[in-house]
Amino acid sequence: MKKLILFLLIFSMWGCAKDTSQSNNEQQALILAASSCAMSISYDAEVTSITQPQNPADASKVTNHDKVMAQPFVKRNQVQVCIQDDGQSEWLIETKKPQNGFEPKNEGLPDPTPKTQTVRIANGKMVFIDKKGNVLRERDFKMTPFSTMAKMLKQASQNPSEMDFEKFIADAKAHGGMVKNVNDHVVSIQRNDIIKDHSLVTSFDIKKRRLLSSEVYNSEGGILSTTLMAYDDGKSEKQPILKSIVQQSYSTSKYSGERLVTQNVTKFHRFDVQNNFK
Amino acid sequence: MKNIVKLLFILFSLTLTVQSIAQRNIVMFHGLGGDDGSWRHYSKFFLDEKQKGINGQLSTLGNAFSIPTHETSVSVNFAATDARVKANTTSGSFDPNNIGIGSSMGGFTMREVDRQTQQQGQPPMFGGFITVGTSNQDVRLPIAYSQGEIGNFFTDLCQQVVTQPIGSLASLTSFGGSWASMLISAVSIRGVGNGLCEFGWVVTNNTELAKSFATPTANELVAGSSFQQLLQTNEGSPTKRVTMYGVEESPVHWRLLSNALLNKVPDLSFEEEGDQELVNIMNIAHDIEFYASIALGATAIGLTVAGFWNPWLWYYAAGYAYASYELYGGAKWLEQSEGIWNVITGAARTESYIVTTTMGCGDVTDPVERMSCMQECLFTGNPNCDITQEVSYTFTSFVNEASDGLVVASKTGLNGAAAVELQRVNHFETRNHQSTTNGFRRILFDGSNKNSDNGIRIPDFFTTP
Repeated sequence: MKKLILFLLIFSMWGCAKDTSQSNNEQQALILAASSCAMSISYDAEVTSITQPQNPADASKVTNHDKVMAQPFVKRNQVQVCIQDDGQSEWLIETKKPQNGFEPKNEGLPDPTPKTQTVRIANGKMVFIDKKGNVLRERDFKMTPFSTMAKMLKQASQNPSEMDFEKFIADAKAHGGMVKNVNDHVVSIQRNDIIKDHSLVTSFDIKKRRLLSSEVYNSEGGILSTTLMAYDDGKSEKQPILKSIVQQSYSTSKYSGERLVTQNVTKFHRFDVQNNFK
Repeated sequence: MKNIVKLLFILFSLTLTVQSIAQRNIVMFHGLGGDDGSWRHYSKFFLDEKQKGINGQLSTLGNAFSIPTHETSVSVNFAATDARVKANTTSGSFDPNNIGIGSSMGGFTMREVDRQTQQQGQPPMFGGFITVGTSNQDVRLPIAYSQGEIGNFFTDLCQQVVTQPIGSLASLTSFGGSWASMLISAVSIRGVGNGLCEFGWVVTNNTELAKSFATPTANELVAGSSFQQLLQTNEGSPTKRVTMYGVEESPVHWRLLSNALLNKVPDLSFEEEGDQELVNIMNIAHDIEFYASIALGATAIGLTVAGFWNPWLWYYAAGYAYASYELYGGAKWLEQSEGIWNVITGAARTESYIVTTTMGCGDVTDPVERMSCMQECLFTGNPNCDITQEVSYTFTSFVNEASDGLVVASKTGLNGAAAVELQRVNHFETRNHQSTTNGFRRILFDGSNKNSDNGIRIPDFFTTP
């Protein structure tokens, strides 16, 4: 009898292990192995979004409609991207439970409609999958190939000397860009030909070869968005490892007429980018 | 002798039966924008139940809101007077055995009819009434409408979900095209491109709604108004009362609007719901915007790193990052829109909430200065610069209360009246839903179960026979 129980116990444990293993294999089968990608991008990111009045003194002027948007909106995602040598790509995006999440209370009846948890983009299809693994929707979807990026990274790999900042800045000036030296290692360039009908200011650390910030302005010079990138200094010698991104955008409330600021803070918990373009 | 006793017993029983199935009339009061056909599904239902003693629909009484000539003097008081005049032309309209059913605003009209007849000592039109989806204690929506909140909601829907995300995708020189065409297809409704944007136009240019919600109607229905106080003077009326209210599944607003604009309840077959169409449209739009934003964000991240080898890629990174956040804003608005709608209808209660989040220069309160502080921190190259410190702060959190999408469940109660909850029912569906049918069966035909959802017994008056 004892042997039978032991057998059943081992059998059941083996069964569990097999399930997990199958599940992992299925997950891995969803996307090409990172080693076979010309470029792979993989990270876990938690994004917290908050909207508040631009002027803190106006906090009492905002309406409850604005305050609904001021509640933290927190999402966590796991992203895997594989870009092949010809610029074609495969994607796997999974939504995860946030570590510092917030969900408003609902005293009514919950939404019974299944929600998308995973999106897979490959072979000209985009598939939306729920948490039980059921396919909710499938669409024909041709992801635009990353041909320009592939070409530019191959060019950089073949002629690294062409990639120095003097040439980059000279090129910006040749295209009408306005260059400003912020300090001895940070340079800002304003260009009006990158985003249609917008002005873009990008700031770089020319010593560490990092993009530090970008600002987008409308055609009247009004600020629309500022994005800041912070890197993990301890691990960013051979290539930058992103630690966090803070983005801020501006709007005007239709309810109160107040100028509002939305801040999106992205914190990376695992970050890996492999560049094998040659 | 035994046979005579038996015969007498049978005759007595038959007499009781004949008495108990004496037919009773249903007097219906339709709501705003309704008409004689608004409750036609239940006219048939009541007729089908005729053998149980209900005499079908006697008459559906309108109110002044549907009479365009009276828009300037519109009031519930006037509607009630008008209903009494109309009822006078129909035989059997005034009978203490009648059961009144008032839907939405029609519930106020019916209560006012009861007050007028009671206080004037006139014959009652009914001996008991059921309000269905009537916000008996307080009505916020007409005020929200007159203050432009509903118009703003739909303008935001168009801007946040349609024009801004599509515009930002169009601003990308490449890559955005596939996403943009997918999104454009998602936000068209039944083949009408920009369908979501047209919603706002439909609602804000609805002259019937504008007339109906015009003051003084809006003001007379809010809690504490003189009209509400007037109705309270009738609380001692002997008229028996039951309230029925819907509690819809989340997202209440898209379900309500599905039935208001796409699958209008009177056009559906009996107990066909049709409240899922807009939920599906919004879910698809949300998914496209959310996952497109992540995909564009991942592209921006890849390009940010790749700029290490070829700095020209940074320009593309910045463009994709901008589009990514615009799309993220659309998905965020869609997820938070139910809360905004509930603020408009009064179905949102506030609580104070403390959350820990990450925020650089957390000691700087001005958000613009905080961004400059973080930018400066990054530009100095200080290795200790941490733009995402953990900070705790307090914010106002909103609790979505149970509602039918327009009327808050907690505001439908009448003092001392039994209440019956209709699950999965939005305001428009109260006129045609399995839960409503079950509710009527429970109140009118199920003599064995008289317990209501608020613990107050359903009066025996309503049980037929």
